Order: sequence, then C-alpha cells, then structure tokens
Amino acid sequence: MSELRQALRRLGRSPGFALLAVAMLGLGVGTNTAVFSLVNTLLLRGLPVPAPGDLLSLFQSNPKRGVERDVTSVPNFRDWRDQSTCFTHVSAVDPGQATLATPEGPEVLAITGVSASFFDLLGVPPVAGRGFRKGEDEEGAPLTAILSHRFWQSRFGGRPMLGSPITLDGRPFTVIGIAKEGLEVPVATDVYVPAIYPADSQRGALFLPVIARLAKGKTLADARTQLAAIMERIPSEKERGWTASAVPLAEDAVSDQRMSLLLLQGAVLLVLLIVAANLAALLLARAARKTRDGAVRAALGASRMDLAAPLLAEGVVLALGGWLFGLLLGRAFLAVLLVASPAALPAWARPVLDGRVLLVSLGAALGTALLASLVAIGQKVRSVPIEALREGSRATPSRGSRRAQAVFVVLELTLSVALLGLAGLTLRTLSNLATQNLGFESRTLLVANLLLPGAEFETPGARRSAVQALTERLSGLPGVTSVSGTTTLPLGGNYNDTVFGLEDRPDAPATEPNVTGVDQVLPGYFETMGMALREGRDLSPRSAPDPRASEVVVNQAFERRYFPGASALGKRVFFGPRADPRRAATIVGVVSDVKRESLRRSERPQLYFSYLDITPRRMTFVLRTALTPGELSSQVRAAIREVAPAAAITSVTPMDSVLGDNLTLPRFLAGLLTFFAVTALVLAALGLFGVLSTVVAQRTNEIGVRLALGAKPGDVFRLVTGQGLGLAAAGLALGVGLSLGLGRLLGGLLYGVSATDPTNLASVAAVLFTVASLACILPARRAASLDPVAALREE
Amino acid sequence: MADLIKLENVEKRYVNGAVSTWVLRRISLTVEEGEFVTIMGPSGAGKSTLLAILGLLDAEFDGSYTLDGTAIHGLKPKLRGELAKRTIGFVFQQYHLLDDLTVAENLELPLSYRDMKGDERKGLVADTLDRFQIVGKKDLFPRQLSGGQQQLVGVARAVIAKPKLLLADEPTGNLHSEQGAEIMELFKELNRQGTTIIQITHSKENAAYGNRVVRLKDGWIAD
Repeated sequence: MSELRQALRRLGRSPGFALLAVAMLGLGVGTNTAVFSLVNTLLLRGLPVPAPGDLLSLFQSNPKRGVERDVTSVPNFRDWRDQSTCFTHVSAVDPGQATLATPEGPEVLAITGVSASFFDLLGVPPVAGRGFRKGEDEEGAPLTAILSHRFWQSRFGGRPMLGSPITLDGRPFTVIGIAKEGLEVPVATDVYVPAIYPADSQRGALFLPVIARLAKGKTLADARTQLAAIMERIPSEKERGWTASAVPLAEDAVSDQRMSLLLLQGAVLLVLLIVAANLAALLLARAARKTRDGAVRAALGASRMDLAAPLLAEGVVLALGGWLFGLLLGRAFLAVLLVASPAALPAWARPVLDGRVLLVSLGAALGTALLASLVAIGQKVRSVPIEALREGSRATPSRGSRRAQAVFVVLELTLSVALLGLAGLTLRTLSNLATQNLGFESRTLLVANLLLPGAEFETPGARRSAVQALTERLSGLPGVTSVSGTTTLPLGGNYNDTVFGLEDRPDAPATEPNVTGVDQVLPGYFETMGMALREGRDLSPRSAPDPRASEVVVNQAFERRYFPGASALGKRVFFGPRADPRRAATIVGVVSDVKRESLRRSERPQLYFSYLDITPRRMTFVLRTALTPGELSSQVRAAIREVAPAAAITSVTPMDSVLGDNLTLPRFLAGLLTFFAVTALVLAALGLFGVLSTVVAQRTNEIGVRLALGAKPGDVFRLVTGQGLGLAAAGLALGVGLSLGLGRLLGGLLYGVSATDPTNLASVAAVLFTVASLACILPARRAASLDPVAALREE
Repeated sequence: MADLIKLENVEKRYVNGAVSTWVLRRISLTVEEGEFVTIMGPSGAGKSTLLAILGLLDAEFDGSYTLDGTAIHGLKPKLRGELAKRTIGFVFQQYHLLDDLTVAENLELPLSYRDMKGDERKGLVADTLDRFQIVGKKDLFPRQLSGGQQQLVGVARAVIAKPKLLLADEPTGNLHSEQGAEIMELFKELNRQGTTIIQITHSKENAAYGNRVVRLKDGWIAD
C-alpha cells in the first residue's frame, strides 16, 4: 500500500504527465468499453431469455437450387412440431402489420403471430395476465392478444388492459396479457396474436419463420438430423429437393451485426495498443528523467524487483484512473452510439455496463498500463545507475530508451495506418452503396405506405376503387408530377417470391420450379420510378377483361436468365397447374433492373403484375414531385384521409430516407471506424510530437554546434522534420502491409472496393504525411529558432 | 584487525571502438575493519570509479576484489546485491534523497529492501530519527530541509541498516564549513563505534578526520 501511496504522491507532483496518461488510457479504455458492451450484449450475453443457447431458428434449404436458407410453410411447420422429439416447444413467429381501430382513425401496428406455446418456449411468461393457451392458435378459437410492454406503455399509458377488447384489422381481440419489458425476441412487435392458419395451407407457400427450444440432453446436431429425417418423410419435399436444418437463434438474431462488431472490437483493440505504445513512450521519457532515483535506490540495495515496484505501482494508479475515466467515456460513447444509430442493433439488445464489461475494461486498463510500465521497467533495470549519481549528470534517455521510443512511434503510426486503411475502405463502401445506380431515381420521390384494412376494403373491387381514387387525388396535389404505386417498394424491406413456369419450356418447371420476385404495380409505375422500359410496353391501364389476357412485365435479369440472347416479349408465364389458363400471363414489356432486396445484392429475376388484376391490402404510393419530397408529407396524409379515411397510413417519407435505412449498418461501421482511426492518428501524432521534442531537447548542444558552423535555420528545420517523416514513412510501409492483411478480413462488408484499392492507400498516405508534418512543425521550429550561443552553453 | 577490503591489481577501462581509455590502473589496496580511509586526488583521477567498484555498483573491472571475505570477481549479480545490502552504506555529495519521499520514508527505504518486517522497520526508523535528532523533521520532504539537514538524513539513511562499510563521495562538498564539520564529526563518531569508512574528498581538513590517505593520479595509486 505504501508503494501505491508513494506512486500517487509522485504522480501528483507531475500532474501534466498523470493527466495526459489518464486521458490517453481513458480514451483507449472508453472506446473498448463501449464496443465491448455491444459485443457482450449481442454476442456473449445473448437473448434476454433463460438458457438462450437452447433456442434455435429452424429453416429449410434446397442446395440443388442454391437456396441456403428459407423460411417454411405451414404444413412443414406442423410436421416439425408434431414429429420432432428434440424440442420442448416449436413455435411459428409470423411478423406483419395490422391496423388498430382508434377514435382518431386506424393506426398501423407491428403484430407477430405466434403459436400458443411461444411464451413457454421463451421461458418468459407475461408480467401481467397469461400467455396463450393450447387451442387458442387453432381455427375457431376466440381471438386473444398479448401487448408488448413498450406498446402497452406508449399507446395505453400502462393502464389496466387485461380483458379489454381491441380491434385489429377490423376483428375484435381480447387482451389477455402484457409481455415482459424488453422481451422483443426474436423480433420487435407491438402485439402478439395467435398464429392461426387454415388446415389446407399449401406446402409450397414459404413464408413462415419458426423457432424451437431444445429439449434437455438434446443437441443442435440431434435437431438437425431429426429435421432432415422429417423432411425426408415428406415425399413432395424430398422430390423437390428441400431439406431442413437449424441454427442457434442468438446467432441468427445478430447475423447482420456479428462481423461489424468483431471488426470494431478489433479496431478498438488496435487503439488500445496505440495507447499502450504512447504510454510506454511517455513512461520511458519519465523514467529517463528519474534515472537518479533508480540509481539511488540501487545504491541503497534495491533489487530488480525493488526497482520495478515504484513503476508498477505508478502503472496501477494510472490504470485505475484511466479505468474510471474510461468508464465515464465509455458510457458517453455508448449513449452517442445508441442515439446516433438506434436501428443498428436489434430491439432486444440493450447494452449496459454489467459486471463482465466492468471487469474486461478494468483488465484492459491494467493490461495496457502494466504493459507500458514493463517496457519502462525493462529499460530502467537494464541501465547502469552509476553515471546518474555523479555530480552534474543530466537525466537524458539512454540510446536504448530513445530507440525504444522511436520503435513505439513507428508501431503507433503502423496501427494508425492500418485503421485509416480500414476506415477508408468502409467509407468507400458506404459511398459506393449510397451513390450506385439503383435502377431508379430516388431523389424527388415521396413514398406513402398504406394498409387497406377491415370490411370496407374486403373485396378486390373495393380496394381497386380506393386505389384508383387515391391515385387521382394524389396526382392533383400541387407539385406532384406523377403518381403510381407498388405492393413491394424497392429496398422497403418487403419482397415476395413466386414459383412459376414458362410455357415454351415445358421440361423445366416439373422438377425444378423457378423462383422469381413478384410485385404488383399500378400503371405508370416504371415511369414514375424513373425505370427504363427496355422493350415492349407498360402494363395496361385497365384490369384484364379476361384472366387469360393477364399481362406481366419482366426485368432484364429475368430475360437474361430465362431467354438468353432472345426477347422475352410475347412469352407466356404460368403459375400453379400448367393446364389452368387463368393462372398464366403474357410478357408485354421488359424494364431495367432495380436494387430491390438489398443495396448489395445483384438484381434477381422479377415479375411485375398489374395491381388492378391482383389487389393485396398493402399499397405503397410513389409520388414524383417538383418540390422537396418532405414538404409534401402532410398534404399527402391529408389527401389520403380525405379520400379513404378507413385506410391506415404506415408512413409517408422521402425515398431517400428509405435508402438511408438501408445504409444504417454500413454508416454505423464506417462512422465508428473513422472515429477510431482519427483517434489513433491523433494519438500517434502526439507520440511523434513527443519523440521529436525529446530529440530536440537532447540534441540542443549538437544543434548549437551546427548553427555555429553555419547551418541555416532551414537546415535544422529539415533535419528535424526529416527524422519525423522518416518515422512516418516506416509506419506507412508497415501499416500498408497490415492494412492489406486486415482488409481481407472485411470480405463481405466491402462493396465496390477491394482491400488493395490504390486510391484508398494513396489517401491514407496523404492523410498520414499531412498529420505527421503537422506533428513535426513545432519541434522543428523550436530547433530552428535556437540561439546558438545559448545552445552551446547547454551541457 | 581483519581485512575488510582487499583489492589486487584492479583495473578499469572504457572501450570506445578501437580506443581504450584507462580509468584505474593496477590498484592494490587493503582496508582493515575499523579504518577511516580518505581517497584524494585531482578530478579525473578515478576516485569515484574506485568508490563505485568498492560499493559493488560497478562489477565491470579486471583484477580481484575481496569484500568481507567474499571474492567479488565472478560473483553473480544477485549474490553481489545481497552482499552489498549486508555490508555497505552510501553517502553522496548531492545527498540523493528521493524528493517524493518524506524524511522518515527516505530512512525506511534501504530497510524496505532488506526483508525486514514493517514493525521492525518503523522501530528502527524511530530509533535513527531519535539518534540523529531529526524526529521533528520526519514528515518533511527533502526540499523543505537545508543542505546540512539533508546530508544528515543522507548519513542516517546510509547507516540505518548498520553497514560494516560506509562509503562517502565528497560528503561535505555541497555544505558550508560549519555544516561540513558537523558531518565529519558524525563520521568520526560512527568510525569510533566500529564502522569502517572510506571517503573521497578534496579537503585536507576532512582528510584529517581519517587515519589514512590514499592518493590517486591518472588512475594510479600515487604513493
């Protein structure tokens, strides 16, 4: 304890050094604490349910067709549930939207259809009321609902709701429970309702996500084997090449974030390493000034351990200070992260500084400070103390100490270059994603998402009429140049697939049904979106008078894939049994490809039908405007309420903000990596500045001699900057190598840029040399302005 | 009296590339227990180097050195350190008190390197403070003391672990004459109590406190 007390006292005597060291440690520990709390929450602690490792996500796949993973059908779900012995519970999790009837009009909610066993499966019963009972998820059962805690608080102010009726999509439900706060697993939802499906649901209709809990003693491998065996027993599935498998739900729930988080954790560890190197350089310089103390201690009988003890004690004190400061910074970083990018994390993930985070951050602080201390100790116990005891001896760092400081600076610059390289790649990726050709023009486009719920829109005719009336009204709004609509907006998060066949290729569909994206659009959709009509014509503005005259427009990817080198115009596409002419359509046009599912994914084959022929309850109006899209929002809402007051408006938003939602994760990653890279660079620049300052102080006499012998201040300036830039060049050379190695790890996170991109490397070099030059200027100017007479007097 | 120190043909040189600079040449010297020896000589004669070798701070020399019956040459650093802790105390011209420690903590420092229990250390520090009449200064830091007081603490620190041999490098060099005389009286008293003392000094008055003078010149013993 007395060593710690004395260390505290010594550091108190050097407040500048102590504060700088604590600030650097705090920065390193703070960034690590913030990122590790995310890693801890998402990757280590897992889902907020008991035994989260036993939860699995079940899926089916078709390797023959290159489908690695797909959701399942209702009959398959029932087979898995009824035939498996590996699970305690199996539940459907069918997320969607519904409208809640309110006095102010219909309100769109996120609802999730779940099996009766859902809350038992999670092991998290509702905090009020009860979970669903067996039979409540079967046809004919009374309609019940469980509110999420968040929705109960925000919509109903937490007032007693058990037994109260609510109207969802025009149907009355009774509230029977309130889910636990923060559950939000596996998806965030406002209301849970029983997932009820018709007995004759089709096996080919794949839309249902399924989760399960492993029974005691059963393993993931058991579950996979059994699921595959169950699928083998379904003749039609076997024939079509489908099998089934499972992955841990926790892994599934963070699949988007995992790589980014690990990358960020790696990045902040590099920052911590830079802090360690910087701290080591600081401690070396301090140890050099305290050489006499070490010499006196050695003369008084101190062993190597005794000599190390004061430095270790100082390391511990600095570590504790850095840890406490780092925790404060970490909390602040985390708060900023969550405010800046709330959508980057799943809803159930609430990062907190729990015991594990505190321990890891303490470990990081102690590890960093002690690593740096050990370097200084290594120098101190090696150095011969005799000289320091002599009269008039100056406390100057030994050559070994100076070399070590230079090595640390090169290390810092190397790591900074690597981080800058990574940040540059993610920034380029973000830029490429944001500025790529989407196949449509997003600027000056406003989108309005609607649901057409309840009895008023029960019939296709009613929906068709409402949509036509709305189109007409919206077209009349000032500033609107064209209006159309779609059921699945590109990059809007919803997309539908369909199985189809081609009339002139009778062999293909029987065993290998083709899957394509499918969309229902209003007339003028392609023009309004700014998509190019490559061949043929747009869909007819009227619904088909005869089902056999149905029309379809395909995209170029469809034509390339199914009619390579030929035109698709006039070809017939059919759905379901080939003999049924009511389920066939003629290709009348070919349009350009658009990014539909993801900004990264190449466009797949796509069919566009007329909404007037097939009329789902969901509709997204797209409005091309001469104004700023946001300015029109309130007028669009008012117009929709005026024409179709029973329609529920999900959102009215500029298309650019829909694109922005797709950029959340790349922006999160690029933003954080850039911040860490800049932090690293600043730390490295400080290190370079410190070393050059020390060098100038040590070479004062030599510089005086040079000046006395006729050197000009410019020569001295170049001498010092040359030394600094030499270190920067070494750091750049090593850092580029490291950056290339790390860049390969980014793999799938990059888009439109490779790890070896020369522009990126050139930019990194330019940034590094600019910052390094700035770090050189002050010490070089100080050296150049030395008075030779005074400098020569220095001994 | 038994020999405490026996040097035979001790030589020391610094090698810089192809150039060797001799600092000590063929030094043979015997010091018996209880002696008070003064080493004198001009600057650069090798006095401090000799003292560093005698104090086991410098083991890079040729020739043989036996301290308290133990041959130093070839002794492992750890054992050399143990012997130094057991046998030697240092007094420096610049006092070399640690600025960040109080007087009491400075006194305790050598004891803390000697596997002594905390209570025992505290008792010995209290005794020494009392013996050197500096109890009132025990919580002060070195910068709060005069030069004479600092050297008094330096001497107290050197002898607190009861060394057989006290090595003093210009102990009064930074003190005015009255303070210097007090320190030399203290040395004389310590010598009378049995401590062997070797001091380096330029002062004939100080040399007079001892019973033998060794003169060095250009690294050689002059006499």
